[in-house]
Amino acid sequence: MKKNSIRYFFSFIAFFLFLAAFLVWFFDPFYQYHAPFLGLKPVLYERETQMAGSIRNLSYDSCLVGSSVVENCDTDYLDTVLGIKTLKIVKGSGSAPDLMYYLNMAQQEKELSYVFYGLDLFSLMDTTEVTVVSEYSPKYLFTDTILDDFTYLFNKDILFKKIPLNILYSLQGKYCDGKAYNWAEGKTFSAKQAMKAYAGPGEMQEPVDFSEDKPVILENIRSIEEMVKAHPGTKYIFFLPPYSLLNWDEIVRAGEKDKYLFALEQVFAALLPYENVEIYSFQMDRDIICDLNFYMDKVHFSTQINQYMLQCMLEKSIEYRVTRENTDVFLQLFSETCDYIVKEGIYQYYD
Amino acid sequence: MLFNSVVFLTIFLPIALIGWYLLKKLNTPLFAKLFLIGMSLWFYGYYNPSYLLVLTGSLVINYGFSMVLERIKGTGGRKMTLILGILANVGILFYFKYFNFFLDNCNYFFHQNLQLEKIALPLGISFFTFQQISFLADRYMGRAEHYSPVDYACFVTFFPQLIAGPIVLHSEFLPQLKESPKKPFDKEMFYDGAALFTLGFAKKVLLADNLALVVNSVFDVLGVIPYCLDIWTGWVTAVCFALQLYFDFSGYCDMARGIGWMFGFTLPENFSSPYKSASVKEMWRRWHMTLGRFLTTYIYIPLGGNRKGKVRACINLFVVFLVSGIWHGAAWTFVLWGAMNGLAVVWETVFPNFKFRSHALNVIKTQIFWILSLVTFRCNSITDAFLYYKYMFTRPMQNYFFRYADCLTLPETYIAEKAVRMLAPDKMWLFYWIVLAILLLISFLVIRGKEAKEWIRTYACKKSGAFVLAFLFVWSFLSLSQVSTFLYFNF
Repeated sequence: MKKNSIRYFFSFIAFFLFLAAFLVWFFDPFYQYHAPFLGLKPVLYERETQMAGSIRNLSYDSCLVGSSVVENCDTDYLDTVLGIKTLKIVKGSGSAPDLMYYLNMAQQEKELSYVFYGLDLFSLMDTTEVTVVSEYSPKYLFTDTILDDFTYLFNKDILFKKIPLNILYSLQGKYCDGKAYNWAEGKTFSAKQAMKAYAGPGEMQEPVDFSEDKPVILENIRSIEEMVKAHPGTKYIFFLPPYSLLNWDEIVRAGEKDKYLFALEQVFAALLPYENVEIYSFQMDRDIICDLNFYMDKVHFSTQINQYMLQCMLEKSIEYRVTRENTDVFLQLFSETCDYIVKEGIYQYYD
Repeated sequence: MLFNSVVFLTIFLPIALIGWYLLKKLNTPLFAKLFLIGMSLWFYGYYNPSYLLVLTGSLVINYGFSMVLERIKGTGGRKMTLILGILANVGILFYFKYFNFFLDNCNYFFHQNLQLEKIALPLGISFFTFQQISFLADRYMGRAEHYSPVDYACFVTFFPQLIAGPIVLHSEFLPQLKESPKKPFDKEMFYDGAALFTLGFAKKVLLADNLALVVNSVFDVLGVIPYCLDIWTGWVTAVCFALQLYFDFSGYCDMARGIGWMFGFTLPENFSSPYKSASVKEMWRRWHMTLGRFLTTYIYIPLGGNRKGKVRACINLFVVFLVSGIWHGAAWTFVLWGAMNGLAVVWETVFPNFKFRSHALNVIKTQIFWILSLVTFRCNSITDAFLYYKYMFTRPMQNYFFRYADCLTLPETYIAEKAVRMLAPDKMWLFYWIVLAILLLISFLVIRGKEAKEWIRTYACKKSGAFVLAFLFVWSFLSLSQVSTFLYFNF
């Protein structure tokens, strides 16, 4: 009798393990193997785990790239107007090397028509190292093989949390298509809310010496330029998102204005010569950045602003478009607006 | 390495079992034994190879003392060797486990400013040190022979019992090791071992680790956020900790014994339904039995046991419990915990008839005492423990527990939780309460139910039993995405 029990025991174990692995493979919430079956829509709500798989296995021909501030852009609008299929590629804090890592991955998979790149100046300054593939991330996310997917295939969280959640969201249409990674639901955008994130204007510091940051900034810009050069058939539309005056006040008072100005100048100089590049700068639109009612903290703005940026870019708005001819105007505007903020703009919120 | 880890279950254990049984087929058992020692060292040094120096150092020193005892015939010389051997073991244990505690107390009581050393506590040092002290004592008394170095190393390093016991005696293991080459592969014993391992695995992963979510959410913030406690929270959390500790440690021991069976060795039992005990004395006969056996044989009896009158017996008992307390950890909380249990046992010795007529009431009384004593065991300081006692008895119910209840977000209940959050967000407290109640109910049923070996004898041979075991194994295995450590590794 026990002889049979051993056989049953190991057979049942094999069966349950196979069942668990099959369910994970079939529903594949991280899109490690395929796009969804059974007519379910791709659901994207957890960028850390879903990004690599979605780049490898979902269907798209264009990308919207950037930090959390681009996550609320409704890419359905781009898709409808331009007749494309856009995938969002997002990394918190928008670290340039990480975004380039993902973007290179996408460009190995597909021939992209458009890349909308939300360029955060600070993301050029931190590091030149890729951080997404770190010891803290499961390695299987970044490899094609199923052989290292053990902890994905046999994982209670995936079975009981991720798969049901994916099915539910897919049926509800939540986090699907243009709403992927959208975090705006339930957030409050108001001056009162935004000001909670800022301690108030501090002492004005002497300009910082950023000579050690220059190689990092230049290296990150160079890698973006390399990508632009390597894919002449892809249209790259870079845009500088409008962070609030709270953010700029903090930067200028910390003595970092020149560092940002340097980064901006280098971006324009490196990328504008290319035919397949357009740059739009929203970062010094005083109507937006000085109205804190659009914000929930120093940098995150409402979906209204996301939509406005997309519209302006598709309409090739002269007001925001940077060209080789008007570079100086934008650089001067940057400088003047920074000065305005610390001298006057910020005080409309502080007596 | 942890028993409840993917690398252990999918790589280490299969290699160890296949290697052991294949090498056993050779004419000489030497290779199988060397293989087992090698695997055990891999197991022990997996997270921190430097620990191997401590383990092998301790092993070599004790084997050296055994060798000296073999050569010396005079009583005085043998006694001196034993004393030196015990001092060497206690010295190693003192340095790694108690040195900083000692310095800390010197600084406090004598207003010194001695610098604490950075000393990593090697896993299971208390277990293999006690095991080897018992061996030396038996060598001195002529109850143990001088084994070959390979046999001795096999005995000390045998990985299932190495890190958290049970504390195996040489007389239990080495005769089996000698017989093992002649013993063919025993399918029934192997299956029973796999079944026992599975039950222990499930106790640890599905019960202890989930109960730990509640326990940690309260105890870990106790010194920082004392207001997290009221009567309700205090009692529920203390009960959860008593259950967690039992499932954690007995789960480990079941796994250890199960692996032992899979290799063809029977390791001693460490638990015998302790929560059915009707007195603290009985509790200690059923809880961590191999530690109790060690303390009785090598401390209580040499001190005179109960042979020198009741007063001396009581003092001896109290001393044994103080040693048991400090054995569990280098902190005053453990000393106090040991003292509480010691006093309770002395009380029961002095007043054996001071108890209820009802067995059930005696069980409840004993378990209430045990739960209360474990509060001291779990707290980081005596101040925290007193604070806990104060609030668990005096602070009116303010439902603090529900603030912490979201720690009970389990993958198994995730969808139900989402649904309640969407449909009736104001009823979330009820949802968490139900989840906790179910967890406690299952825990009580397991505690009141058959012991693991009984369950295996009754059900494991049936198809339905094999199905349940396989289901529990896979469910536990799938839970390993978040690996936890065992509470008793630090003891």
